[in-house]
Amino acid sequence: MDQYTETMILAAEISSPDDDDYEENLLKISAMFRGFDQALTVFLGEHGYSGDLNDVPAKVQFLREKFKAANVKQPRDFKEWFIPKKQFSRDTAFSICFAFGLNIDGTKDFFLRVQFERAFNCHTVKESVYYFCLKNALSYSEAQEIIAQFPAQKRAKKIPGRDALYTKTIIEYIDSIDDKEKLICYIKDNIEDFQYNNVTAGEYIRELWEDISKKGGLAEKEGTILDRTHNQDQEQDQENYVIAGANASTWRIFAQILGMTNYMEKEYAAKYDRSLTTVLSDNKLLPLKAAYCFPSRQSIDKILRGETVGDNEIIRKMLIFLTFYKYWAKIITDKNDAFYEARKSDSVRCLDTINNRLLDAGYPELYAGNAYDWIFMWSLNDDQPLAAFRRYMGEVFAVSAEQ
Amino acid sequence: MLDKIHRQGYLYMDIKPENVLVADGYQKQIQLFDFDSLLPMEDIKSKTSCKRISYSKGFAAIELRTSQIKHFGIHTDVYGVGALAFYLLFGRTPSAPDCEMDAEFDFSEIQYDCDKCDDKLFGALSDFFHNTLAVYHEDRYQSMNDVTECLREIERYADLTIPRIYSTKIASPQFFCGRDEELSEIDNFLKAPDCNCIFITGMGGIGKSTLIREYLRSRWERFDTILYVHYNESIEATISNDDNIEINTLKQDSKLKDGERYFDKKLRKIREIVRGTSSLLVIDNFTGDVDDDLRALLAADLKVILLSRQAPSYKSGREMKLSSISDTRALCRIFEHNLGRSMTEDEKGMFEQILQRVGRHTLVLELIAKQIANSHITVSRAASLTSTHGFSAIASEKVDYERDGSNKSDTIGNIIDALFEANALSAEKKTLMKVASLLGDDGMDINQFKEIMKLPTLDDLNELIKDGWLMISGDVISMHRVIQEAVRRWEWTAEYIKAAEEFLSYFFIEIRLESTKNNYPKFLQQCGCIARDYNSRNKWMSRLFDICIDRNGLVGKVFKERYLRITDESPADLKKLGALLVQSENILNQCKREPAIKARKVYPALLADTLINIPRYKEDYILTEAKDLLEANKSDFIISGFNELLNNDENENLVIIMRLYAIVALIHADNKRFDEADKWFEEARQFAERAHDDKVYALYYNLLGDYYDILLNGAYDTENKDEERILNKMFDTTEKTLYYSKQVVKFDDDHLYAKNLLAKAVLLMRSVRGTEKEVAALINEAKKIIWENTSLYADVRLHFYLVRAWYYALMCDDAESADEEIKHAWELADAIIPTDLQKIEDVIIPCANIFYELWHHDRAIDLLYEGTRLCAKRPNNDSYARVKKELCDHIWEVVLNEPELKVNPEIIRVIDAENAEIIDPKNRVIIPDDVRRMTENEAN
Repeated sequence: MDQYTETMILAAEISSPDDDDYEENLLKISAMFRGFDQALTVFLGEHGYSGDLNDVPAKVQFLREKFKAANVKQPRDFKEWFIPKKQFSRDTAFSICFAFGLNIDGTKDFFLRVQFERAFNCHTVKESVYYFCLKNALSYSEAQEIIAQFPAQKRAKKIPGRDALYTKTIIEYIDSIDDKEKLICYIKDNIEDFQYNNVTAGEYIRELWEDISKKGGLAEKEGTILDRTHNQDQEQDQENYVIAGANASTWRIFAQILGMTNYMEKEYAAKYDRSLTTVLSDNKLLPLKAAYCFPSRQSIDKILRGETVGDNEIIRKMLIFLTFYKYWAKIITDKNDAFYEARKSDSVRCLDTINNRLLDAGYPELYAGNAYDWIFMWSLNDDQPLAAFRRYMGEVFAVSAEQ
Repeated sequence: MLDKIHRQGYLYMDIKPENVLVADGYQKQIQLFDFDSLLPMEDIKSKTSCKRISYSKGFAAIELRTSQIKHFGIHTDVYGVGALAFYLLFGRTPSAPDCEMDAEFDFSEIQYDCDKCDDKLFGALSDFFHNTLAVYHEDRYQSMNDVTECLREIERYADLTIPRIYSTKIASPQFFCGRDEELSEIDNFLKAPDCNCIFITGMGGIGKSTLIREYLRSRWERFDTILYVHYNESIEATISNDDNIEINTLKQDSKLKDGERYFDKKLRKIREIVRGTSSLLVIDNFTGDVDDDLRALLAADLKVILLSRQAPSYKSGREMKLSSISDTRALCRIFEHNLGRSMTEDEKGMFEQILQRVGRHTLVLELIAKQIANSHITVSRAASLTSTHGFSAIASEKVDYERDGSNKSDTIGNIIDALFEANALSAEKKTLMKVASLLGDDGMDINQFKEIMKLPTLDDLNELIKDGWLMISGDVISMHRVIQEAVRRWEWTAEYIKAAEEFLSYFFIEIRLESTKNNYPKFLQQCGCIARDYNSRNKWMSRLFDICIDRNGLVGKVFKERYLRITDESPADLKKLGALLVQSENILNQCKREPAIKARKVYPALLADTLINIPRYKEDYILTEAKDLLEANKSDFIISGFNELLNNDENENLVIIMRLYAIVALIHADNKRFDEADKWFEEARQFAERAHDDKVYALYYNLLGDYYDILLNGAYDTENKDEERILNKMFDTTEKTLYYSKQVVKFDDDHLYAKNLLAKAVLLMRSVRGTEKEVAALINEAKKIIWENTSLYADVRLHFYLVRAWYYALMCDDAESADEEIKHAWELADAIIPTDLQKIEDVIIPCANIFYELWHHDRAIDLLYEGTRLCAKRPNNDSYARVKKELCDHIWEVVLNEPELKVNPEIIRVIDAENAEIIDPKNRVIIPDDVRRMTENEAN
């Protein structure tokens, strides 16, 4: 485990809402999260770069040599990679993996720690080819040759219902072959299945949402307890938590999970068409990667309709968000205790549950270096993780108001 | 093998199908190979983190997939074993949700024929997967011993060659509460070593099946095998059916030895399997008897619970009678559950009404709640509809309900029909049930019912009781309201109508005979005796007489009975009459919802006679029913049978109608609702004019005289012109009554002529307008008519004694003679006056007045106070309260008018105490301040 990851894990473990300078601490921690530029610098340091880590031209030169040696097409300007807060495409990330001769695990690690995204989406032709090539140590140019044999793909708008091919099945097949002709045949035979992805994740999200939102479901039950324990003490209704109740809209349930107050809910429902973009973007407590693709009413509705969503991160973050809520809402409703004090084992079990879902759906596990993931890992260190998460989001709203 | 590896200090870490070799032909020969992944447990302790560790997808625990080496352990291999078993069973590796705490496994998706598997196998497999695949490592088995133990159990359940009974899948009740005592009782029964058979009995829909399903749900772990079957024709057929009880090694089509029954073979196998285990068999809806097959079944080593509407006689069995849920709060919760919401306090009041209307029947309450929800009506509306039309007619929308563990949808009416399906009943029994559905909640003595229905024996009724159709308490039979509702839904056939008519006719005849017995004209009685004598000697006349009686319908039937009892000179049986009237009132109330019965002549006839004779304190009932009856009269309504010998013309019942007008108008007048009373008098007048009949006119003027008497309120010594005018009207109406009643004097069972002679005498005496000679003449004329035309117990004789007492008091100042007459009056009153209220009005108040006139003030007060004691028995009845106030007013009047009188403070104390207990303020006695002061002075 690198030092950065360890630091972030430690930060998650030691900072507590009970601290006097809790808000300040959160802001400090938030500022510690790396962007692509910093993460790439660390990666270079781990992979042969021995110069000054702040010397951008030296780092550029090092990269150029690596790309040249591996016969990987070089980008126009490596320098841009070291500009803070910039984001880069998955193609760029894969080209780096090829340039550094990473294997499957190395590539996954790169995506986890530098790109902060899922490594391979084998439901696309391009990435399944990358998977095959990286696994079998084929070069970047060989990969491009194979990809060139297939016409540009259009993404399907909807995931087919019953006969959807799971990513897991594609990977299992690719794992079982080492001949690129077989790969080409397989892709050609199943080309339609390379127009969509996230079948497993979509299913998981729909199941989770059903458990949460159905009549008498977790949101309704947890809402009742929340109302009984928290809202009764508030003097003004505006300050009460949103309670979704039975047959509530996606937005109301969403607002309850996030711990929005009635005042906030009305504000964002009326002014911003139930979108939280204004709160999340440029928020000191939510570094770029955390705010990006943050779970929203719009994306859950799309997933529920079986439509494909633009970015995999939407899926991953939604999966984390809903698994986390379901886990704690279930415990709270089972115990009928809003103030249930979580044991260490409860939190570890929750972490394992989220990770298991993520890995099953082809996404990387929670990573403390990822700002979004960190919020959940930090919450899990609290006695009342769901309440802690809501407090964190409360701070996000407060910071937004100040800004 | 894995256990061995672990004991050597290693983890295997790569369990997957490819690494397990199963030698063909000999399953126990299993080889694990590829030990590249072997990891020394020592290393785990020393390492805190490491780079990615390779693993096999689908078979690796989360700690392996995320390389959390500190979480590695035996449980990591345990996961691998679980995943391998899962893969072999389902044909896929476990997904993330399969590893979560609330994971549920759909065993219908396994690659084997799941129908052949026992539920216990699935239960054991679920346990196994929960304890091996758990995402959190500490939730898994921590040793291979635990794994192998669980696998052994699974193996045992999965071995299809071992004879096994498959437990029945039993649906849990959707909602259950309020039977804790009953559940404990079943526990106790089953614990008893000498008890292997329990009959749980109770009416359909009361919750027998639900109770036992809840019992099994909450205690399933106590039993190795639970069998739940529905009885079908016989024990042999029920047990032999493999769909009911399935044994894996036995099939109904298997070969049998000559003469051997499959039932016997199967029972032997059942015995063999359940021996030494804890097994329970429930037979639902058992309708058979304890025969040899059932005895053979009970001899097996299993407990048997039979759900039945009645328990057959079997001395070794225990019976648990299930009645309605006693806890109202529990019923409220059941109601609310089915309503889908909580009730307001107001609604709970309405709910209590519904509860009462349906006899706390669980299923019906559930159905009503669902109907309210489905039909979007209020609880209050449902309560009202239940009361007026029955719960099956609340609305026509279908409701969902649970029957035999499955969900169905139908109207409440159809559900009830199915619940109390009566095809098995004989036509005779169905007729009895249809008639019995007209009984009220109080039911009827079983022998009386038998007599009315002319049954040769009680056998049919006893069988209906045994089969749960009728209830019996002591000697009284009744019908549960839910069964009553079901029976009411049977269409009225000609046979049923005929039987119901006979049933109502019995009450009409008996009430008519008993209520007119004392006043039946002597002349008519003598005619009857002559006719009887003549008929006994002349067969042809006798036949003609019978034909006439038959032609006269109800009137004829009344006379036929009277004719049979013509020589009976005893007074009317007031107790019997009272009981008949109560029963009649109940039956008439039940008939209200039966248009087929209301359309028969006997219904209005019985209703009219009941209203005329029912105690006056039932004012509300009389007013409501009489109003409806008289409204109907405005069209083409005819009441049969005023005077059975005089005339068979049904128009004669005009007299009955006028009597009804009289009762209604006088009740309003007594309550000082004079506007309302005037309205009814006007209607009575119009009716009398339309009727144009001497008796009707006589009754009308007699009624008017009574009304003026109320208006005058005893002020015969008039003090103003209004009183003078009323008194004059009284004289006028008395004269008119005398005029019209004289025409029918021999046949008049009201004896209006004699009564009005006496009334005139009283008027003359009390208004001091008549001479002693005039009064004496009137009394003597009345006596002559009474002695000629009435029996010993005619109520006019009571009037006669009292008027004579007035005469001695007012005209002769002869207290002794007056006392003598009062004594006669009391003796007669005891025999002929049915209610305390009437006794107060007809005897006590007049006698007290007489004592007052004789200056026997103490006696007057004592008598009036005695009257108040009779009223105090019914403190919250409006009629008695009104009379009590009247009596007290008389007492205060006497006390205040006669200053030398001492007031007993005890009277004031008692009245005050009674006032405190009276709910309605208008019914409390007002004690004037002057009287209180007098009492206080007395005490000082």
